[in-house]
Amino acid sequence: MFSICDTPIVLDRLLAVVADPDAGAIATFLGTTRRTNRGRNVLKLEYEAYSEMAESELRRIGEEAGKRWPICRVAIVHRVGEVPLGEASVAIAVSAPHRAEAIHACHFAIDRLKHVAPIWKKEHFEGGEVWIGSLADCDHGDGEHHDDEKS
Amino acid sequence: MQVRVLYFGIVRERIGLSEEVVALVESSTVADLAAILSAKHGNLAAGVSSLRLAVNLEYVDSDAILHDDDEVALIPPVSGG
Repeated sequence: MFSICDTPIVLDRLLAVVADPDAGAIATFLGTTRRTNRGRNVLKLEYEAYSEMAESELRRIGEEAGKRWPICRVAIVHRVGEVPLGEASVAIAVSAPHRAEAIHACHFAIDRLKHVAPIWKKEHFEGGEVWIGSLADCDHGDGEHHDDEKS
Repeated sequence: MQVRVLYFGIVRERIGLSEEVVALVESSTVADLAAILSAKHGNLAAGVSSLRLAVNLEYVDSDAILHDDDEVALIPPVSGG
């Protein structure tokens, strides 16, 4: 399962996809919409994707993870459209015979996704809106390390 | 020949288009297309630090040769997750 969806993410669906009798562990990651970002009070996030290419890139990330670690199955789902505070915008599940590989591969997958998947996030905050990663977003920074990791 | 160009995120908003069809001479490269689009719409990379291009769902370098009916996407800095 490597998909872009426009409805709330149901983690159980990913767990069902990666379930494997050879697995001794399933690692999961959920990225959720945080109330504050770099000093701004976030109202909601809005995601846009080049869906067909994004799904292709998510599949490739799963394949790369499988080359690096002995894992069983990978599922990655990213939501588009408006994502209210506290809800998940992305979910990853990795099953593997042992926990270390599952956790490493899951970590790798979210890091790769953030670099290569053609998906964009517009932040609606109190007083405005900004495309994350644009110059306006960077100029708005307060000098803190730019890290929009949501976990 | 002609190609279909897709715009996303900040670029789509700035130029007010999500896609368009562009006519090109044979053997045009991605860089040739980018020059045509910049002449038409102003600096495509305005407001972003970089712009990547994809052809038929794959990232490409600017010297990639385009073919009839290719689907080209302008990819501003990604921010999924």
